[in-house]
Amino acid sequence: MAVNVSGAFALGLLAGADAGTLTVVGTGGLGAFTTFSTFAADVVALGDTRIGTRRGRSVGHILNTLVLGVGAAALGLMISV
Amino acid sequence: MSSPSYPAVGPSVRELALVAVGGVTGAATRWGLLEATVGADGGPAGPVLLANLVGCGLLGLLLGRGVTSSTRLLAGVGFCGGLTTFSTFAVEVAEALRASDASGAFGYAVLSVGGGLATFLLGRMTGRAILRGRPTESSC
Repeated sequence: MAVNVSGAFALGLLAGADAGTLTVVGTGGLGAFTTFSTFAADVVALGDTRIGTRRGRSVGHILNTLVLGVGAAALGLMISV
Repeated sequence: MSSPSYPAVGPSVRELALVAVGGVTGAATRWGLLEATVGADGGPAGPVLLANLVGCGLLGLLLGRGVTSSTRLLAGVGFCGGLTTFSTFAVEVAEALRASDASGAFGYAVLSVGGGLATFLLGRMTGRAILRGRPTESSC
């Protein structure tokens, strides 16, 4: 999650950059650094564990990642503009 | 070549190389998708959503079927990790919110997360089904 949240923040910061930088660092670097597929796999894995409330932990992970991730991106955007 | 018997700490060079090669290929594929759809005006959804859905499905397929650790690193962590992106998704949602498009932001988020989970689970079911047809494999 730290990877996805920090990557979202960094990409938000980049928002005003020129097209070339955006492609290399944004689409390439940060885009590859963060991952949606592993996030989805983690949500499912949390649901598969038998400790605690299965659904609760999956939903919690989704909400945490979304709130922190989008929040970090918004923060980055606000700082960059 | 004999090596000392301490437990490995961190990824080996080979493992890093597998992830890097897969990741570069995945990211390049996503970039290709973006370039191909430039000019198409469809709001926040589009190529990133497609890449994310396909990547989740592929990862589910690999994990469901069961793969060697090398394949998992190259195709799973690497290619799927590079093909999908959380940062671009998060920035797109944030930009929609800042443009006061709350419904668009919410819809895109729901579509991405729900769709990603759905394609992952579908991929995993398919992978497990493929696995069942191979009697010499042990299922996990």
